[in-house]
Amino acid sequence: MRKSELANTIEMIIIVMLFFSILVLMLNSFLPTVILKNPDTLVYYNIESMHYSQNIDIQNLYNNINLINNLIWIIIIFTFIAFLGVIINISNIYKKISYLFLSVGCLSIIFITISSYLYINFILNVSNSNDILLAYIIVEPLRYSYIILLILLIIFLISILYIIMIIPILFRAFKDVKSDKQELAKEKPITKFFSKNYDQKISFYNRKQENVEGFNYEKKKEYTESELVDQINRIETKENLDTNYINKESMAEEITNNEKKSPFLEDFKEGKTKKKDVNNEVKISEIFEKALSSAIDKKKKEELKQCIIKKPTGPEKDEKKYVVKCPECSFFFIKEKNKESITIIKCPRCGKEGTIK
Amino acid sequence: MDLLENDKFKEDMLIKKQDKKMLKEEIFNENYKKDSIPTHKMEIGTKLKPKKKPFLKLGLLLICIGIICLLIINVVPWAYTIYDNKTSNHMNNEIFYYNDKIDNFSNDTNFSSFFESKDSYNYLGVNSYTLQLIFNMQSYIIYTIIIVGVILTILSLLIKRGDFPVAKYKLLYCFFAIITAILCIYLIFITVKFLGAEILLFYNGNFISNNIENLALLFISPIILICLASILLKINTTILKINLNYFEKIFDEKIKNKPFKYGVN
Repeated sequence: MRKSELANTIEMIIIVMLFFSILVLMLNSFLPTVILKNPDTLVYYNIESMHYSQNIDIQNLYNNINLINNLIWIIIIFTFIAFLGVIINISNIYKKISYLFLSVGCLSIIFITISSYLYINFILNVSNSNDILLAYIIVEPLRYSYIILLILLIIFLISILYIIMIIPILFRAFKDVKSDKQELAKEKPITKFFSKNYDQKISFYNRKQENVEGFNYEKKKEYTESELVDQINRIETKENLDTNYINKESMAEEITNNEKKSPFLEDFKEGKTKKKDVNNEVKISEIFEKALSSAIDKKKKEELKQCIIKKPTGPEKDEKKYVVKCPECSFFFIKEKNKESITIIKCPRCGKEGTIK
Repeated sequence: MDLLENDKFKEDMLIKKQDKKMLKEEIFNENYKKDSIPTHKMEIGTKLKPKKKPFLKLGLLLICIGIICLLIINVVPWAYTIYDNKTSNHMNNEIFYYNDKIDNFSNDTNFSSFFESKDSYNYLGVNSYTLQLIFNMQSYIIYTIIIVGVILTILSLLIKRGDFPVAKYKLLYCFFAIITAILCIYLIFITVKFLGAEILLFYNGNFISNNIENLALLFISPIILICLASILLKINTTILKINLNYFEKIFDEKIKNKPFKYGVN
């Protein structure tokens, strides 16, 4: 069953449950419930007249019915919360809250069970009593209480159906959350690259370097000038492989972003360009990707060269260069740091502040 | 590295690349067709009209219905009675009971004969105390509905000016709709006691008083209130359904345009 269809069925269940619970509440509040037998006459009582009755048995029965009414109020509120949960779940905004709301709807079965039990108890109490009878419509077997009991049982069945529908969804959601946590615990894969942001391209490039043998950025490392020069050479030798890699990724990225508006429409809205040929655009994007990858390479080289050119002088003698990985965005950048002092580092990409361990 | 050097792998990669290029072109074409605007119909210099943000009309509706309900409570008589008096040669007596005279009910002999019996039985289920309580509760609930309406209107005006996502906007709408629905149910729950009194009159009418014959009671304002509250409840549930359908539509569209993952296809 598709998710939208499932939502439709759950919505239907909830609406039926709401309708019946409101109906029970209303019937309970205005229908005559009991009859007090006098020697000559029969006096009918509804919940309101039971409240002000001076008969102790009727007072006790009123307390019973009032409790049932309160429980039904709780069921109505919980059902509304479940309805909101369905809407939130289908909107895909606050998923976790939606699961919480849906699970709150499951609790209604407890209250409906208690209220059904109390109502059966009420009927039994009245039938055992000599002075009090259950109110009937025209003839004796057609009693109002039986209608209410029937509706309560229907609500009970509907709530069971609701639980049967909801529990697999909640279980799946719980599983997903667990797997997400496990995935987060692991390292992020290199292929996760979805934005056209230039900085992200660089970070992707940085991440890609992890795969190059002997160039492990995962651990904090101190580099000497000769090592840095070796790294530049190594990048140059792997250039062809890198560009292929980036092209591949950018292609995937454009396919994944097909939900967004096409770049042509954006251009049109800005009033910059007119209608373009699609095939030309595809070629342009490829050229752009190549140019971008070469630009990334250049920037990386410059960064590394700057590290070599800057020579420590005077009091900064103790400062050494560290290649640091940002814990937030896993962006690699070079930072100078004194061995003994604790300096706060700010990530140039995401702005996260922290210290080197 | 070893894999790349392999010729077969290279060929496969090339085929995959070509397939992806084709796919890419198709997707671009489709998106272009969907998003493109008929330029030939537009004159030069005309500006594109921005999409209007939805305005929450529920707030205004709540205020209107709340004011109508307040008017009904205060202006329309809540009860109309007609009966034959045995003492005065079976004369027809008609009495309208208004909300503003509720404090004088205890002094009214007719009222006490209908609603407060002398022989410890409460035949109709409503007495002066419950009536007072019901009217107070009704007015409080209606005030709450009006306040909710005002809050919703102010919020919608604020949201309309600022950048607020439509989906969250709709969720807020649902939340307020649910609150109003609960208030409406409570209003019906309170007011429906008058209907209970009507039913009890059918059964216990004979015990009310010896001097009164053919007593008929009609609760005018409570019936109108129940109708209005039911309409409001229906509107709220419809709003919830509409919003759910809106989200379902978006969800279905998302499934249709589900992106390809690199390396899968």
